[in-house]
Amino acid sequence: MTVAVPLEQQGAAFPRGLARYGRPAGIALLILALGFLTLYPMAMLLYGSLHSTPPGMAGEFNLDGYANLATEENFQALINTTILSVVKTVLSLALAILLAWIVARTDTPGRGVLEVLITLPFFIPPILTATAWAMLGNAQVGTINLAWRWLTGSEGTLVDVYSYGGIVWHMMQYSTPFIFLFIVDAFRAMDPSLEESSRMSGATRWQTFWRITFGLMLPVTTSAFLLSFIRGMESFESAVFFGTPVGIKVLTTQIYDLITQRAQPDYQGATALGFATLALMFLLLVVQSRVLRGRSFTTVTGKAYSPNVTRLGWMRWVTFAICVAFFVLTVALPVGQLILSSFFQFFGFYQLDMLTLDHYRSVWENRQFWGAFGNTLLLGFLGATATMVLGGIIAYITTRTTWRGRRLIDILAWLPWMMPGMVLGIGFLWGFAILPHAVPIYGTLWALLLAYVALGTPVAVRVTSGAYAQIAKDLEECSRVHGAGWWQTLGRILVALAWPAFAVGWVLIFFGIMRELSASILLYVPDTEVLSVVMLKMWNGGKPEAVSVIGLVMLVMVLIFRWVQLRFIKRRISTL
Amino acid sequence: MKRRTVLGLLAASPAIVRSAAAQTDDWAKVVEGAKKEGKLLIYTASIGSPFHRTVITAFEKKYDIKVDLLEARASEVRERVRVEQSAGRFLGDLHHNGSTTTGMMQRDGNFQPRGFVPNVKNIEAPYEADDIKIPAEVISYCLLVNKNIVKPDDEPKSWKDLLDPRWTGKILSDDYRALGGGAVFFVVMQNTFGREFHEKLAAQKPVFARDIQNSERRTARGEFPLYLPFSLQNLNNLKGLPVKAIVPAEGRPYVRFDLSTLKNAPHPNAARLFMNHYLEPESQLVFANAGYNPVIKGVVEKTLPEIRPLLATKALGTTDYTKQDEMLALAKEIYK
Amino acid sequence: MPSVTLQGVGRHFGALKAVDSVDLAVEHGEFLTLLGPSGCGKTTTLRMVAGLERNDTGTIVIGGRTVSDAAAELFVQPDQRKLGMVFQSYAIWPHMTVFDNVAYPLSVRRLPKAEIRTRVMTALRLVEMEAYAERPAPALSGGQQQRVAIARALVFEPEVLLLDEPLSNLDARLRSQMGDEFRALQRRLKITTLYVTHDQEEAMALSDRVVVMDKGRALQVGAPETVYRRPASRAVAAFFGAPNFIDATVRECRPEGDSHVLTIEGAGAQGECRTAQAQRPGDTVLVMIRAEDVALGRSNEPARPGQLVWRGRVTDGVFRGSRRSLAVDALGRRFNVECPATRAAAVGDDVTLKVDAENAWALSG
Repeated sequence: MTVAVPLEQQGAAFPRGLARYGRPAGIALLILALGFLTLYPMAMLLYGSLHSTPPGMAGEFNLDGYANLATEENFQALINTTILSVVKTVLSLALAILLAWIVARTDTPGRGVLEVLITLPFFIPPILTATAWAMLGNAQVGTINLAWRWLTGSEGTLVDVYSYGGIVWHMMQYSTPFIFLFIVDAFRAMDPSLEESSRMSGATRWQTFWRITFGLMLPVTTSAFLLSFIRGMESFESAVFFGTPVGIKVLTTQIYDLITQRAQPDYQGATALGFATLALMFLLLVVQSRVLRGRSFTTVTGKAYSPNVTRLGWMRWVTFAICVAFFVLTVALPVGQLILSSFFQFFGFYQLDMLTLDHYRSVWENRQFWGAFGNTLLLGFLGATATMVLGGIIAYITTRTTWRGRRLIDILAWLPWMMPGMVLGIGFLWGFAILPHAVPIYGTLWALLLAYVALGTPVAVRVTSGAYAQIAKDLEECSRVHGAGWWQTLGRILVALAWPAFAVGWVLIFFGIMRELSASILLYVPDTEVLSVVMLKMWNGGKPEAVSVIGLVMLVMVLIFRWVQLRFIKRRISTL
Repeated sequence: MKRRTVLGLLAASPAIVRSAAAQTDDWAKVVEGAKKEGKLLIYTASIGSPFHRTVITAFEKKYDIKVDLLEARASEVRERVRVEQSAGRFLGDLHHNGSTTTGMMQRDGNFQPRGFVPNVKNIEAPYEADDIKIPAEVISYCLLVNKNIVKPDDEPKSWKDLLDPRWTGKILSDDYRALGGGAVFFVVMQNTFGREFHEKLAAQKPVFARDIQNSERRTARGEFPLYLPFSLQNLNNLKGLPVKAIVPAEGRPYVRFDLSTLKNAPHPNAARLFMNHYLEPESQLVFANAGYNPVIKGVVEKTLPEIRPLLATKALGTTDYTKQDEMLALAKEIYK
Repeated sequence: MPSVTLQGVGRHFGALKAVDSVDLAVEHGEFLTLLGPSGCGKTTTLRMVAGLERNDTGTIVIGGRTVSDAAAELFVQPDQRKLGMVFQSYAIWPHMTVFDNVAYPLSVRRLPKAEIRTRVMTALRLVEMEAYAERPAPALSGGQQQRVAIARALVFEPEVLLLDEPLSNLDARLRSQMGDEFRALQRRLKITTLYVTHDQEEAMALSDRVVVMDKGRALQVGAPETVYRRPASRAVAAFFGAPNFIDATVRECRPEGDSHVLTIEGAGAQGECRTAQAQRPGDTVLVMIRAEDVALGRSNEPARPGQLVWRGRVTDGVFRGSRRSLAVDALGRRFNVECPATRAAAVGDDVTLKVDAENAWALSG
């Protein structure tokens, strides 16, 4: 009872102040921080969309930006974008759920290795997979078509990646692993008795999967769906690479053209289009919160359970085959292409006399690369960690409390995801540049760090709130009653239980930072060069093979990170 | 914070030096002032060019001035300069960009007069300097053909040969409806041959792409026999691949890159010294050997034999930023 | 001084009063049970004591310290209240071992490692789980998890132990065994215990006193036997088993001991019963008779003094091994009667129903 004395004093002295000021102050601080990260650049953009000239120039307020949106071209682009995004998201979601179920809830052989391998495509810079697929699937001399012609003797074309299908396929290379990573731990952490009781009630395996497993996973799957769908609406690389040659326009190419294809860049039009997109996305959010309202998705409870896997019998070879097929199609082909071409003088020209280690040497000896790599690692570690901390707190407040202001926080945390990256980058540039010169943000690493945290927060919040939603509330209350404070409980119970989700979120954000270009290129200065900028330089300097080498370096990092993380997760899960 | 302090100190000293140098126009004092400034920040839209590095390294060695390069795409460089200047942040010294963007930024008042630069006298027509900017190097556009597919006899000799039915559906092209090489090509062809040429070319159904590097590789792999407009300096990256650059008889469309001094540049003497360095024959030879056309006299003759005939061709014409929007609209109209 | 005192404690959700001004005092070392149907407010009351919910009215005092005072906006966070709690689901943290689970209340308070070790092992020994210390928590059976939850709640030697339906997830046999063990442990440690259940048998077997709650109010507080045999209202009476009721009119009333003896006469029933307050002749009362207190006699057996007697016919019988449950139609109602299996009347028999006045408890009509 000796410890009880200070506790008692503390309890007597502070509760009034804590209750009355502590929480509102905390909320206010959080809203302020989030406001600076998200609302501030957004406000700059809003100004831009309502003003005839960008910030810092004389002009007038008008609605021309919005009025000029209603063109047939924009309408066509909106339809294209929506169709592309819906198709790719639905397909990816279905595939990702299937894969997550196979990996987490069945006894499919080799699923531990598969889990790491099938996520690899997500971490390859899009320009590299696009190049790889362009070589594999072009109509004229694509490897797949050549093989098809050789096999069948026909003159026809089996696949053409320069098409709607090509765009969808390329986007799926990213969205499927993304959604998979997002949902797999939720599948893993589920109490099997929930499924078993469904089977005992006479439901078939398929009914059980659909009505119970999938139903319980709704918060996390709808979150993943939304994140992925919105990202699809903002996707640029796939559409430009595979769409431009066949005249497919999307929203982001329209925005890009407004900025780059005018004697006077039309920032008003570009930001207005950005906000119009944002408004559409916002409607989706409202729908999601309606769908999820008032339902419980607790699957991790304080009761005993053993996370059993379904024994599939001979069927497990079918699921195994599905995984392998996915692996071959989305990983082995493009990654193999990358590895192969990194040893040849030219991407796609595999002649023995062109074998070389020059690309590795050129990257190894590139001082710029190492400087940027160091900066990016620093930003990645700091940024991903800070983002997960921020996201974890926001998710806690929005999912576990009834505090006033939590809806606002939730919305603030969504905003950066709903604004196309190239527009948001401009918002950061404007916002940070006009700060008083005494604030050391513009032109420093801070500018990049803050932008990265803002850009990563939506993912962090979604990942963690999905995980929190699964954790029974009494596990947390039990901790409070037994003497742990709010922060202790957050750290030792919630975060500890949601740790797999935190790990995944961290990796997603870390590699998001490694890849981010739109904001980076507007905010970096020579001292703070980052990897994505160096990769752009190499690409534009005609060195796609060197970019492949960097891409492979990133893949090795992913493998190491995931391997370490999964070892920890598995150790924990195996004790469950 | 530390960097900022250093910048501040450096920014304070040249103010004195600058006025002195301006009065006497004594080049030696510019050099001295530049060395005192000791630093130079260049904003460039030429991303990832190894040749800049070569020229810069030579400059750093020669004058012991550290040069930083901020590379971004043309519109990004422009917006950064605009925002920084309107926020009172004068960080960059020199600006290196295509003549179109440079022209528009000059109109917007983003630059300050460059002052006297000795080597300007060597500039060769049709390239010319003015009070603000000097020409830096020239990108020349030509054709890229796949040697495995196109036999020497079939190679286009004139731009008009592109209209031959044998090329229908076989031309890979940088998008004429977007700024870049494609737009330059469009404008020069329009000025040289008129609208009729474009209408006939449109009937050839060229395939448009925007990623230049990828388009070049696609041609090398034989997806398409012919790619245009090919930036001559990229030939270096394709050495060893079955491709060939061809400058048609009429000459080459080109686009000039300019150097100009940013408003309130913190290191104006270093900027001026670098301009002069850029126009030295040694510097220009680096660019010429890389496939850029030099902007001063007497350099083409000294280039490597394999590149010399391509550079020693007629400059057919370039784009004009005042007609940019009009021309993009026309391109959209003709090439649906 | 009582260990826990609730004064006028209420919790309101809009117009709904989930807990409506409850007054309660739990004595030091006492085992007090909050008993009531689901939704009666018992769990909410417990959670307000724990600090997991804020009371909208009233004050809560634990161990002499006011931990919540709605009027003064005083609210001590749950972690500052020095409590132990066992949750319905046990809330065993699945990511920790048994030892870590039990050590948690100590480790969050930053006690020295060695002391934690001793105290955790002592607590585990109390619940006979010391052999399982290094097991991962989710690998335990329900009963074992329960023990761990109890050890965790006890390890900090809390001011008060709170239990929220801790036995409801166990099977019947284990439930009574765990209940007995826990009761013995509680007696041994003399730890003040506030227990919530909807199971009346459990409540009576374990508690020193029982609080019967319904619709947010405390209906009656008393020793289990008092509450069972001398309920204060029909609602309390009806909560335990399925008692029989007879409407009757008072003929005579005289005090005896701490209660009163009534002579009553109803439609077909007559005799004596007991009640809490004095009644006047002519008052109507409702007499409660427990099924196991009814004795059956021959069809026309006369009434004897100190008994309440009426007649009826057996309409149904269910054999339950040691006893037989009969349904008897009498006075236009259906009476439940429990009697020894071998000495029961057959279905169709006319019988006299007899009950000692001691076991017939009249409630004010």
